[in-house]
Amino acid sequence: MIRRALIPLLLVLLMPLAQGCDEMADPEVAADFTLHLFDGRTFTLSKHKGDAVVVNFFASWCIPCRAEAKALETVHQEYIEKKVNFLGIAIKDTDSEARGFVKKYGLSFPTGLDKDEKIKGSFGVYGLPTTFFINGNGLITYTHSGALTEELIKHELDKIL
Amino acid sequence: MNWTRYFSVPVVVVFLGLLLTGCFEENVNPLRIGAMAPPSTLTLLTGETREVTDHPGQAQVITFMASWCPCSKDSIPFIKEAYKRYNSGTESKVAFLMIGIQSPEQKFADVAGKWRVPFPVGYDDGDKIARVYGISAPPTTVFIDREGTVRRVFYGNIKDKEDDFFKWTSELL
Repeated sequence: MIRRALIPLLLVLLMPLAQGCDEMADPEVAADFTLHLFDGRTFTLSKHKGDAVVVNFFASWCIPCRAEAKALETVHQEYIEKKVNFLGIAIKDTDSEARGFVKKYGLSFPTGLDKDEKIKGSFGVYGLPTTFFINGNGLITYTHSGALTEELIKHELDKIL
Repeated sequence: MNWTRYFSVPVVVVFLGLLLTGCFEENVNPLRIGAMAPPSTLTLLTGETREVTDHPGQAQVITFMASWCPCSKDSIPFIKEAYKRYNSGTESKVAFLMIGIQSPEQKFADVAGKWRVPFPVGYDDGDKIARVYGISAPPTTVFIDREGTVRRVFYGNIKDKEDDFFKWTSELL
C-alpha cells in the first residue's frame, strides 16, 4: 500500500516545479518614465498603476517590428475594455519616419519617440523589437525579444490581468 | 479501502496538465544556456557548406545579422576587433562566424561585402538555422565555449555593450 502511494505523493511534491516553468525569477520594477506622444499628450508609467502596461520598443526600419504591428493593434482592440495600456516607443528613428510607421500600420494606441533614448536606457533595450509586460504593481513580468504574435501577447496579458 | 487506486490517476492528470500549461511557446527556446550548441549546416557566401559548430576544442562566436538592421552594421567594428584580438599570427583562439537572416540573399551578400568581414559569412536561407538557435531578431550573438556549450546569447547592438562583448568573448577561453 505504501508503494502504491509513493508515485502520486512524488508527483504532488513535484507540482511546484511544473508550475514554475514560465515564471520569471525575481521580477524587476519597471523604471518610471514620461514619454511625449505623437498626439501631443504625455504618457507617464506611474500614472497607470493598477493597470497592466505593454511597452513595445520599435523603429520604422525594423522588419520584425512591421511583422508584429498588426498583432499588437489587434490585441489592443480586443482588450480595449480591460485594464491594459499599450504603448509604442520608437527609438533610433526620426519623428517623421516613426509617425509614418504608426500611420502605415494603423496603430491606434499611444506612441511616441524616445529621442534622447533615456527610456531605452532605463529598460536596458539593445535590440528591436523588444516588448515588456508590466503588471498592475509595476513589475515587469515578461520581456520578449523579437516579433510578437497575437497568441503570445494574449497569453502574457491574461497572466497579469 | 485502497484509496491510492482512486488518488493516482487524478494526481497524474493534474501534474501533466500543470506541466503542459506552464510551458508556453515563449519558453520553448531550443537554445539553452549550458546546453550543447545545436548542429546545423550553413552555406557560406563563397558557395561552400560547413557545419555551424564544426570547431572541436575551439571557442566560437556566432552573430546573426540582417542587411536592413543598423544595429548589425554598428556591431561590425567590434566583432572585427574581437576577431583580430583572438586570431593574431598563426593561432586562432576563437572562431567567428556571421550568419545572414531575415534578408534577401543578394542584399545580405552586398552588405556583408561592404562590411569586409575577415571571417566566414553565410546565408541562412529561410531562417532555418535561426529557428534552430531560437533567434528571433538580429543582431543576436551566441557565445560557445571550447566544449561546444552555449555560454551566452546577447540580443542587440554590440556597440551598446562594447566592454561586455570583449569580456564575454574572453570568458570562452
